[in-house]
Amino acid sequence: MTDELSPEFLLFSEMLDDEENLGESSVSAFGEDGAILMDLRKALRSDGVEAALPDDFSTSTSGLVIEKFRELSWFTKSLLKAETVFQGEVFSRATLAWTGALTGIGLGSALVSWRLFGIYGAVLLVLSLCWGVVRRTVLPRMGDFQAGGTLDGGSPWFGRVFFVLPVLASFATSLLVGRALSNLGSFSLTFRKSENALAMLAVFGGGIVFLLLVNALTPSWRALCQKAKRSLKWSLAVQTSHGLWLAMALVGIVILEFTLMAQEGGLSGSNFWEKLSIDRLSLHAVGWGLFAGVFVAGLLSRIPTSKSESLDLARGFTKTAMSFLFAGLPIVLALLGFYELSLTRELNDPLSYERLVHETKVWLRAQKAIPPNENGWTELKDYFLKQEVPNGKFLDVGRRLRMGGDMYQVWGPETSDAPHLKTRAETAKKEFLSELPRIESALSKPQFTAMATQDLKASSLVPDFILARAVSQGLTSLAQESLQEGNAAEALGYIEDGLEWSKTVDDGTLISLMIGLAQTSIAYEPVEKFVLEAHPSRQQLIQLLDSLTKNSYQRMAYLETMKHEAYMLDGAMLSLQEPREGAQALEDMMGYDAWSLARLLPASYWESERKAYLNLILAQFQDWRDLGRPADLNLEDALPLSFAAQAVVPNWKRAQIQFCKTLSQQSALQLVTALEIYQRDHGSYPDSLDELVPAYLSEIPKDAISPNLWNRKPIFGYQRNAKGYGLTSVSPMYDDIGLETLQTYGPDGHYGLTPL
Amino acid sequence: MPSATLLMTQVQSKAGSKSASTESLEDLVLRLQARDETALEPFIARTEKACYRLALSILKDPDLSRDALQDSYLVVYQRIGQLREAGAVKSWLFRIVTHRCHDISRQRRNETQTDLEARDDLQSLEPQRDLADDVSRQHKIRATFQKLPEIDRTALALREVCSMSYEEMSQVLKVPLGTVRSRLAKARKRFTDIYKGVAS
Repeated sequence: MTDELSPEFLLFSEMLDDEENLGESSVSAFGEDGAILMDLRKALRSDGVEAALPDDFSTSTSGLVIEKFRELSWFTKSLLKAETVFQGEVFSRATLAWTGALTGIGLGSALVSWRLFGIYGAVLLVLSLCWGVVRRTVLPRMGDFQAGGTLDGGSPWFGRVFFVLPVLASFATSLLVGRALSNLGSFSLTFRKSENALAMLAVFGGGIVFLLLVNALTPSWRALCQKAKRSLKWSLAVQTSHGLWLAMALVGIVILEFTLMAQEGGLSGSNFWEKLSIDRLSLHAVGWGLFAGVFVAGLLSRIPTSKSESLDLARGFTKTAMSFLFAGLPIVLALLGFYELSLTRELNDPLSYERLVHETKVWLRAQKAIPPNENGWTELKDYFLKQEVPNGKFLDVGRRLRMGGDMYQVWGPETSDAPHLKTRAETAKKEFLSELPRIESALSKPQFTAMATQDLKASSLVPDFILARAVSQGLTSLAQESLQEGNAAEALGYIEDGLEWSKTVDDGTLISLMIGLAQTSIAYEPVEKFVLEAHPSRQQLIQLLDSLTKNSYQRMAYLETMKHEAYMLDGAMLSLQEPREGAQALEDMMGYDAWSLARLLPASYWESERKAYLNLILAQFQDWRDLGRPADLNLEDALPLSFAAQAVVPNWKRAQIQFCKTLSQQSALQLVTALEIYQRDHGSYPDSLDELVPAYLSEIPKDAISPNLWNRKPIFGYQRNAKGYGLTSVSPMYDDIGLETLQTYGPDGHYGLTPL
Repeated sequence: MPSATLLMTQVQSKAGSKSASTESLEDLVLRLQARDETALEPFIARTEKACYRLALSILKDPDLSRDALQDSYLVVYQRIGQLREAGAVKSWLFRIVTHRCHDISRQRRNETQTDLEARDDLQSLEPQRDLADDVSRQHKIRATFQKLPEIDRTALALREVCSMSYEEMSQVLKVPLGTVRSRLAKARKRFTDIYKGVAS
């Protein structure tokens, strides 16, 4: 037997099937073959005509079939019934097997690692998208999948026009959701870091929503379409409702966009298009291209299918509901996977994280081990703020101490002549001096304030801050008074007390550091005046230089502080996940039940955010280590972490700049003092700062606030002039804290008493 | 070209006289999908003839063909939920019947090689014609048809007995249109070759 087929025979075969135009001549043209095949046709058809079934075949067969069906097990019948409800789309055995296998793989990968699960979800989504495109583009060209037809044999245009509004409404909704997702994404540090990431979130989030809507709603649309086709009222009602849906989605987009514009400072002609775009997607042509691709894929993958399927409304709606469930669930899982994939990568070294957390815990444990009666800070706080005095006035001691601080303002040159202020200042001074021995006693003990920070009770630290600053103000005021009276020895004593006091509350927390920085600024105020105008002895100058050096801040200590603070913040964030403590802490901070909102986020979100936040902070420290300017990223804007950050950390960036400024200031004052000693020894100031080394200083201190541009060494400017010399520090960072970018020290500077 | 739709319509009109129901086949399918047992009998009545002719063409055995039909209707009743489009019931039904016939045919081949020409029931199918030549020729044609591979018999049966269009055959056989054309042509070529004794 040969399988070879000539083109002529193929043509002849097709002619045989064109029975309407098949004539005797056509058949005879193929000679014997034609006659044989026509005989075959006659024989087969005559067999069919004469074939007969018993009259009761349908009755007996239907009875038999129903009887056999009833004998099936309950489970089998349930499966078959489910197949009927979902018309084989969901519960066919093949589908069940595939779904089971895919879900199993997904669960397995999730158990192994979230990252693997994320990759799995991504692969699944890409594959399904590709299949949607292939099914509607490549396969039809292969001659298969040609099923179709029109709605009840009517005009195909009715169906095509009918779907325009629903598809547009779905598209508008997906835009809205994409935009909203992008906005929600800005709550996450990971997405905030990159505008592209936000854009992609909008693109893929919106795209997936569009696919989901179109896929799930198609059965309902088709059912409605068939209903509408038979009734003008239905047609109007359905189209009107879809029109309303579209309008609502568009209004939602407009409201959302304008709300966001208002938040961003309104709309102007120059930024209109930039702000109107979805997260500035107009700047991301690739993003738009992807969005269009997803949109087209959505259309191709579903809309043209099953046009001739007969659906009633109940069946259509049921299928829609189940599609949302079965299509939505994997998509949500995949999105979660994406999310985990995106966020967990933020922590590049989990082992390092675990190690640092452990170190911080050990440090905290050591801090907590200090008994309350040996905690100088607790003693001070309890005494000054909580002790009830005999006359019943609570916090009276604290008030009196703050009055001591007021001396600082009273002793200014402008107000020193006012008699009533002078009297008030004298009273304050007496009260302040009476409390100093108790302060000194408390300061001889270790202090610990970290617990307040860890418990997110920053508000309780505010009085402490005022108290600590008041003491510094008092000591500085006393130093200023001594300087005005020409008593250099007494002034030096108060200056040294002030420098020591400013360091005594440093317990390794940022809040104490901030307090200490403010105190140090106050303590530094009389230093230049003492050095340059009080005519101190050489010995007094050396004593001051030692004191300045002894009480100076070190960069690495600051880094440790920030690291501790970062991990304590991590602990605080962790406590936010506790139902009771977290709820109360958040409500205290926000003034409303923020916990209800916060708990909507999964635990993994909190963990990822915490880690991402830590990474950012540690990255900032890395910048800082190189004496660079702090990154521009505003950590306080990173919601919801800012709930905690705002409470625990006054201002991270400001703290960093303030610390740079204090370092610069302490270096400058050391130089000023050393220069003055040099002048005493040599009769004139040196031509270069290098001449101070090694006799007066072990090394020339660097200017910590100076920008480290082009790897240039950050140094102070020094120049001899008529007044003696000028010592300058230049940095744009001064501008960030409201100071001039050029700060001058020494005889050429403005070292007089300046109000804070 | 008359399509299976026309054939089915003819079958339905004949069945309609037997049944008082005027429901369309699609409506019956929807009722069956809703597990309405009363829809089964009219559904069978409207489709049995066409299905029987198809089965008979493939199996050439009335008893086996009836068995194939009963099995097929059981599958239809159980799996009606898998049918997404009621309008596609014809090709879906023919596909089930064809598959069932192939199953039975395979079983029969495994059990025994029966000489179909010797069977009484096959003889009973033969037309009672007066002309001896015609009888001989018809007999030879039927015998040749039985010698064809099953794939060829199915293609020819769907086309010649059920009068299906290429598109409908494509759906039943689940092959592209081009394959339908070539498969039919090959079946015809093989048939003529065997008939003429070219091939053994």
